[in-house]
Amino acid sequence: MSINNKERRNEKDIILKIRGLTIEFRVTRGILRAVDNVDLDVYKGEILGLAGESGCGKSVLAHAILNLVDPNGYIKSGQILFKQNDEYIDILSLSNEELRKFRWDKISIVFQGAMSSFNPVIKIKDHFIDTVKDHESNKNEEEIVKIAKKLLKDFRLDEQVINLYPHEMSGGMRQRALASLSFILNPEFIILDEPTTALDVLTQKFIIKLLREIHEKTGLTMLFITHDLATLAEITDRMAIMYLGNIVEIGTVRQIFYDPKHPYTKALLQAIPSITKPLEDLNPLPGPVPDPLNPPSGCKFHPRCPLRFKACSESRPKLIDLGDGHLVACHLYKRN
Amino acid sequence: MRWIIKRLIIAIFTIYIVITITFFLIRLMPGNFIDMMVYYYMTTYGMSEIEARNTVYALYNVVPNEPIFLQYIKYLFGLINGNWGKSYISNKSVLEILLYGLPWTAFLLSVSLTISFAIGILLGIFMAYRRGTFLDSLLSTLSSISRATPNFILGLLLLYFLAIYYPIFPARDSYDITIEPGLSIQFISSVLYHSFLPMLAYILTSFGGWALAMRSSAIRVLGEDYVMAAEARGLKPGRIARTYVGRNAVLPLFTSFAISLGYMFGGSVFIETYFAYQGIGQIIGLAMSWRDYPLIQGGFLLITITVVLSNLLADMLYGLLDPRIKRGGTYGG
Repeated sequence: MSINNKERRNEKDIILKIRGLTIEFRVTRGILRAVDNVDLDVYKGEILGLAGESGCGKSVLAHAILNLVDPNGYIKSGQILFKQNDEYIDILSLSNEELRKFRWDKISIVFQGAMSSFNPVIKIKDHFIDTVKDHESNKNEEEIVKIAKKLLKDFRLDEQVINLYPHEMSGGMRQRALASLSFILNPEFIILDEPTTALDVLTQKFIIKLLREIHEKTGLTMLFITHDLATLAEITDRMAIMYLGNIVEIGTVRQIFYDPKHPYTKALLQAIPSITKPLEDLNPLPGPVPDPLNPPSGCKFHPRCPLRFKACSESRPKLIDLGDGHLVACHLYKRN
Repeated sequence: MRWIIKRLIIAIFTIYIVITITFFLIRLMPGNFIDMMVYYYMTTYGMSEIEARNTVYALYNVVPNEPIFLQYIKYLFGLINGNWGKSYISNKSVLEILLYGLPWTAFLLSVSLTISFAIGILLGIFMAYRRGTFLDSLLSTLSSISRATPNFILGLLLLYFLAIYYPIFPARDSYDITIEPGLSIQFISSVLYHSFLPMLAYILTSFGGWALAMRSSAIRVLGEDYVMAAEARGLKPGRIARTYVGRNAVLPLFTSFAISLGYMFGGSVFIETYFAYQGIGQIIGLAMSWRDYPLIQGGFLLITITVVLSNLLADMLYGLLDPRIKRGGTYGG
């Protein structure tokens, strides 16, 4: 496995560039900034992990890549640039019809709630047929069903699953069916939004293994979102850590796990329970998560940070490169 | 199969209960047909009360002072043998009178109901997509007005303005009686022409209820994950509106649609009376004012049967529309 020590990355290999992305939600108490001025690069052919506590904005960020925002939210500013034929197109400035055609064809997404991601009144088959027909009108149903059956088989599902209604399948089957649906148009990029969270551990392992196999076979670019760091360590090349709408650290799995720089990353890693260590060694983060409607000034982590100093409450740290592609947003570090 | 038998037994039991309640309830209404006829004979022919009473008893085949429970048993046995009794006012068999009115009411109301349902569904989904806009508020207000207006009030207004003040449409009857009924274009167009105003009154006062119900149902569905998932898959907006939003949003309305289909016979009394339209509603209205017990009982029995049957039908069709509802209750999903 080629997870660690990947060959040095080249600017040319960036398939997705997120620049200055800010997403806000109108809620009863005011305006909630779920994603705050985020920059993120995804390299072609890698699996990038995006981790953070629940509610840190990682799903909102991921959905925004397809310009999907809940009705009470909006993208305030920023660009999402996707490389197509050596040129970058801004997904956020596509027209409705261009965006519709772009979705699923170039980038597809596996939602976390496989339970509710299928239309309950139509068969699994119809989800595949609807999707292909609205993108490639020249394919007939027989061809589509044939491809769909092959994909389902790749995910170790029986071909006959295609004739079932969503409610007739178990959670694990549904999640695998949803994953196969994301491959139907041969996308270049797949977003996996907590695809294993609702599943039991065995099914989780099984799906992770399948995804890794598929990645090795096809070299597809994947963005894997989860709050489970152990899962990320198994499958990703690089990972980004998010806290209250900001990305605080990006690095390879080795850099993040063995040489974490940001105090929040360190705290997260210390909060992973281990069977070889006594429970008392577990170090949960002190203090409550700040009110997202009213985030702390400066570095949003400073009220909970054991290493805070004066500058932390005054200005927000920018992501700086510490070398070897290890980026951190913390006043403790100076640009390399 | 077992499910259907179970449902049929429940249906028959329901019908029996309603027959019993109707039987005793209408006899609690003040006044009765016999007294009205006795008074009529006394004033018209100058008979004494006893004379008149005996004449009426003989004419209408009434056993005086027969215990009400015995009457009830007799009525039930009659029903089992397919005998719905004889109407007092016309001396014809109740079944014959009702079967004459049935097709007219069925035509008038099933067409109106279908049209108002279709308008309501389309309007509701349109409002749901444009929720919060000025157009949505405007259409919601119109729908509320439509829903709140009683159909007989609007019927009277339409009758006054479009049939009497400006006599564009006929004010009475279900077809032009000078035309021979049959499958001729003349007859059919006359039927449509005569049914226009009553249908309009019904549609204009019922589409709003459907629209509001559909609006809230569709707004709920629009928030479902599978709609966002469908958008993420780049499906065409029309397909999402039809297969993903529409189909799921219309499911809860479908039951009320089927129930309305059953109630339409009972709900047409005013409209049919005002437009002198020869349907079940007019017959029941007439029977009520004359205290024609056999005919009232027959009318209510017919309404009960249609409501029960359409509920049964709704349940069965619902299983087809929503695959999650499996018959028999053995399938866990």
